[in-house]
This record gives sequence, C-alpha cells and structure tokens, in this order.
Amino acid sequence: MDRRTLLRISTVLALAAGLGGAAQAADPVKIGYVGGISGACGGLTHSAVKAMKIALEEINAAGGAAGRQIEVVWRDSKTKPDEGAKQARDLVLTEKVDLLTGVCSSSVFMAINPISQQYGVPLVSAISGTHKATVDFGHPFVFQTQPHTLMEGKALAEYAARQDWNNIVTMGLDYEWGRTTVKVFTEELAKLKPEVKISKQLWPRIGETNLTSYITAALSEEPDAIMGVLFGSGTNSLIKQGRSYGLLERTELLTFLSTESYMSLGKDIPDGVHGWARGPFYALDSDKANAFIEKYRKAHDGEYPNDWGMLGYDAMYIIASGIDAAGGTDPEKFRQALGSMTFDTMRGPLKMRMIDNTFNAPSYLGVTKMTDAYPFPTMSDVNVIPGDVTLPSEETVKALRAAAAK
Amino acid sequence: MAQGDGTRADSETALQRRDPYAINWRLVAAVVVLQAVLLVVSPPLVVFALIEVMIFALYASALNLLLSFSGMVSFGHAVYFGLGAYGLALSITHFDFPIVLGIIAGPLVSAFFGLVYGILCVQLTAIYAAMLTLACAEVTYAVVFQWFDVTGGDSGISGHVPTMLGLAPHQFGLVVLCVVTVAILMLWRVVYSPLGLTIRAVGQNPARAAALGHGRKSVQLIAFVISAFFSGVAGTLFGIFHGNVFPDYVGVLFTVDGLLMVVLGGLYSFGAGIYGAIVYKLLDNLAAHYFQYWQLVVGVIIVIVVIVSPSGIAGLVRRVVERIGRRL
Repeated sequence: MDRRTLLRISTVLALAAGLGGAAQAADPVKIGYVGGISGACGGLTHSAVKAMKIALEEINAAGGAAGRQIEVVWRDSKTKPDEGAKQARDLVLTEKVDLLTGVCSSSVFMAINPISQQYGVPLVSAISGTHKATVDFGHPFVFQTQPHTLMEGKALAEYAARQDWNNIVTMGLDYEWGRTTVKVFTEELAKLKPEVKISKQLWPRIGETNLTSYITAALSEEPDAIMGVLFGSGTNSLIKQGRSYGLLERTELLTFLSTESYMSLGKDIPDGVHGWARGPFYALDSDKANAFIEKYRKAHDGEYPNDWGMLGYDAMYIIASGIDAAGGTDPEKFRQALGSMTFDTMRGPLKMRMIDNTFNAPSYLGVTKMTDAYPFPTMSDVNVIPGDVTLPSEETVKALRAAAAK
Repeated sequence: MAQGDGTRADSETALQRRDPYAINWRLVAAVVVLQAVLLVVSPPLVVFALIEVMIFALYASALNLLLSFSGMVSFGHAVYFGLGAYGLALSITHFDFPIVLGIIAGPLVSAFFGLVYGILCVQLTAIYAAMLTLACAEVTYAVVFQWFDVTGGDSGISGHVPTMLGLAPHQFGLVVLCVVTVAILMLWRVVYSPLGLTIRAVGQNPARAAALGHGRKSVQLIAFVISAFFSGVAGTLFGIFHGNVFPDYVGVLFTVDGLLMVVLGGLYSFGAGIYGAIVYKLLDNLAAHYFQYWQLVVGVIIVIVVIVSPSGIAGLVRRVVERIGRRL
C-alpha cells in the first residue's frame, strides 16, 4: 500500500468518524418496549401497541422529546417472565435503549424489574397491575402509570361504601390478584364503613367454568352485593349461570369489566351490573381523549381502544414529557422530572409521587347500560376514584419494603 | 497404496478395541475448552444465550434419560426443573438457609418430589403413566400459583439470591459450564453403567428384564429420581441465572420445551438433549426476532426435521460423521 492510498483511506475514515459524530448529536432517544404481544397477554396488549404507535407518531411529528426523535424497538415477551427478562437485557445491552416500557403480566414485570435496577435503565410500566415491583421491590428507576392492586382494592372499598350495601359476599379468583384485592377491599371497607358485614368469602379456582356452587353459596347469605374479583370467562360464567338463579334480581354484582370484556361479551352483560375499569374510553370526555379515539378508530377499521390502549397512549406521553423536562434520558434527572410535573393525560392531570414512583392514576366504577352510542354495553354514572385517595400510605410502603427486604 | 490400507485397518481395530461407553475425554476437553473460550471472548448477550443453552442442555438430557432409555414419558418434567429454583428460593426466604445451602437444597427438593411423584407414576405404564405425570404437574402448578403467601403467586419470588451470584456474565457462564459438564458426564455414567444397562433393559423389554430379576417399578423409579435430580440442578442454575422464580418455571411451556428439544435432538441417543437445546434455543431466539409468527416458523422447522431425519439431529450428525469417516 503506497502512502497516497494510505492517506486516502485515512481521509475517508476521518470523514466517516466526523459524520458519525454529527449523527450522534441528533441520535434518537431509544425506547425498548417489552410486552406480551403473544401469549396470555396477547388479547390485551395489541391495543396498547397500536395506541403507543399513534402517540409516538404524534410526539415525533411535534419535534420529539428534548429535541430528539423517539425510536421504539418492539419486543415480544411471549408473556413469559424469562423471555421478558431476556428481551429486556437484549434491549439494554445490544440496542442500548435509554428506557424500557411495556410489560403486561405481574411475572414479566417482576422479571424485568431487576434488570432495570441492575443497569440503571428506567422502566415505565404502562399496563401491569402488580404493586410488588414499585412498592415491595421498588427502586429509584421503576415507575407505574396505572393503578395497582393495592389502589384498586381501596377504590372498590370507596365505591362499596357509597352504596347502600350492608351485607357483602366476596368472590375472588383463588390467586394473588384475587386474594390481595379482596384483602385490601375488606380492610379498607372496615375502616370506611365498619357496620358492613362481609358474610362470606368465596374463592373460585382460576379457569373454573362451573360457578353454580359459588352462586348458590353466595345467594344463601342473602347479600346486598357480591363483590367479584373475576375477569373474562369468570365474569362471563358468573353472569350467565347466575341468570337461572335470578342472581341479578336478588342481589347487586360488582366485578372487573374492562372494555374488551364489553366488546367480547356484548349483550351477555345485562344492564345494572357494577363494573370497574382502568381506562374506559367512553368515560373520558376530554378533547385529548376524543381526538385520540377518533384517530385510533380511523386507523383500525372503527375498532375502539380498550383500557390498555388508553393506558399505553398515556404512558408514551408521560415518558416523552419526562425526557423533555429532564433534557435527556439521564435516569435520575428523568425521575426528578417525573416527580415534579403534572401530566395532562387522557385520564386527567396525573402526578407521580417520589416514594414509590407511582402515579395517582384513577379507578373507574359505574353501572352497565346498553345505549345507542356503542355496539356493546358500557358503564354509565361513572364514579372516578382518584389515585390520591387510593395510594397506599407511606407507612404501608415502608412496611412492605421492610418485609420484602427481610 | 497397500500401506495406506494398512493404516486404515489399524485405526479401525483401534476404534473397535475402544470401549464405546467410556467417556471420550479428548472430545469432552475439546468441547469444554471451546465453550470456555466462547464464554470469555463473546459479548455479554451471546454469553447469556450460551448460559441458557447449557442449562437447557442439562434439563433436556435429564429428561432424555427417561424418554430414550427408561421407557417412560414425562408430560410434566418442568415440575422438577422449576422446583429446583423454588427449592433454592424457599429454603432461603422461608427457612433462612445461607445461599450455598439453598443451592444444594434446590436439586434435593426436585429429587424428593421425583421420588414422591415417581412412586405414583411407576404404578402405571405407557400413556397412563404419562397422564399421571401430567396430573402431578398440574397439581404442583396449581399449588405454586395459588399458595401465594409462600410462593409469591404469579409475581414469584425475587431478591433472594443475587442475579448470577453477583458474578460477571462470563464468570457465571464458566460456573455453569463446570456444573453442567460434570452433571452430563454423571448422566453418561448412569446410562452406561450396569445400572444404566438395567434401566435400558427395562425400557426396551420390561417383561424380559423382569424375568432376569429386574423389577420394572423399582428400576424406573430410580431413573425417575435421577432425572428429577438433574432437572433440579438445571432449574436451580436457571433460578440463580435470573435471580428469581415464577410459576411458569414449573408450567406446561417448560415441559413442552424440554420434550421438543429431546425429539428434535433425536430420541434414543445420549446427545439428544444437547443437540436439541442448541438448535431449539437458536430457533427460538432467531425466529422470534425476525418473524411475527415465530411459533409457526419454529413448528414448521421441527416438522421438517422430524420428517427428514426421524432420528433427529443426533441421527443426522451420526450419518455425517460416518460419511466423513468413510471418506477419510
């Protein structure tokens, strides 16, 4: 190789390095999304992904965050904790993402949480409901933008206390979510309205399709209401099989009913059931929400976004605003920014508290009603229970953390 | 020319003279050294993938002891894998074991459940025994999933052991390499020992083995416990690797993964678990990366492999090695 060739090569290399440096200055913010695109969460997550993509487009069209465009690398956790952990680690190490988001199931959230802690990469959970990641095993860089189990249990108690119910039977699915929600519900209700009697606690097995024995056991107490911590097929079976026992004529029913349940069960859900939800699009009457819903429906053949879609859209905006305010993706600055701002979301103004990086996300409870507005029933007279009321006390957070650290 | 023929004949007699069941230390050393070098020079992400492959190679090899040699099918082997990780976690969180004892407890818990469930399962044969293994797995999953005060339910147990024991990925990879190598060599010894001969005899012809004085139940139970123990070793390593444990680890997906690895690797061959783990994990990682319908892609590839080479990858490797050997 003669000197001239060498010179040429080095000039090209130097130019390339210079260009690389220039490109780096305008490098996009990289966000890694890990969610259950397939597997058990598949039915919920698809709407969240669509909604987050819409938010992303809007944010980037408006100039991005902190003057940089946002790029999302989408990964499927297959709703498996080990797979979620693997994808998260891959995103952090090879994709060099600045931040992680997504997560649907508790186990996947819990599996990704230590990776966020280990590498100091913020993790913003958009749709996982467990409180354990932010409360029990919380660390400075894990955030939760939706109400978690402890908050929902309290919201249910708040709602039940407003009703004329003095004798309640609880029916929770026999696993962590069901048990914890019922526990918080009974404890909080005892504080709010001590005269209410919980006459029976029933625990149907997850996947149990024949609920008749639970229905008769519940009705034998002649309760004013049944508080069901059930979802999907559990709610479906309870309502359908309860019909032959006149369940809804003899008592009131409160159960988890998010938008995709209304869509899939349709007219099987009669009027007059008390439902609770996390992000019901039909109850969020703001310009921001309406614009999003219209855009979402236009892009997806008139389909309505489910609760997880609403939560996903909000989460993407929270992330972008946080990065914008922090002037970049430094984890500590990002955390400080989130803690000092009020976010204008579709669910109203939300704030995050610093002790457990949890947002004061509201819970929505109301009574089902078939109207002309939608091809499926929705909730009317929606009670919004704000997160400030339902967030666990700082003492509770400290006690749970101490127990987890033991 | 004549001289050349003589050399070939000599090497053939040398080959024939060699005990085919003795451990080929040269091969083992070569594989271990290669793997160790890979672990040290690869970027962290490849190291993680290698660790995963090694752990699953052990799990699938343990399962293969049952499938290929003892004449049993387990439709719930993730139980013994997952209970290794749960044994580690629970012994630390509920019994305040130090980590070292917890690590020892993991495989022992698996072996214990292997004994209890094994006693039940060997009472039956063929598909009935397989169904019983499935039932035992369902019971275990339900208990682990629902008894959340103890097992943490679906959010599992975390924080009981530092991820990878706080070691750097390649250091932990070397630990896993040592443990997995020793464990697989022990499995080899089991398969090709007098005990292994008995296990294989029972697997191939239980009536005849019984006539020779080897009762099917006791021999299969021994194989079952050994398999559970080594699955537990793999599960314990997996629990340390991720620093946590979830009900999924004892669930049906991990069972199916193990079965697929063995079938893909090639039934009735000792290497099935190893080949299967390498190829299956490779497919699993790559297909999910490039295709939206990765499950379909993996499924189709497995179908093709099974049709093209019913004896799996092990059979394919054997044929290729033989052909090269003949050419040389």
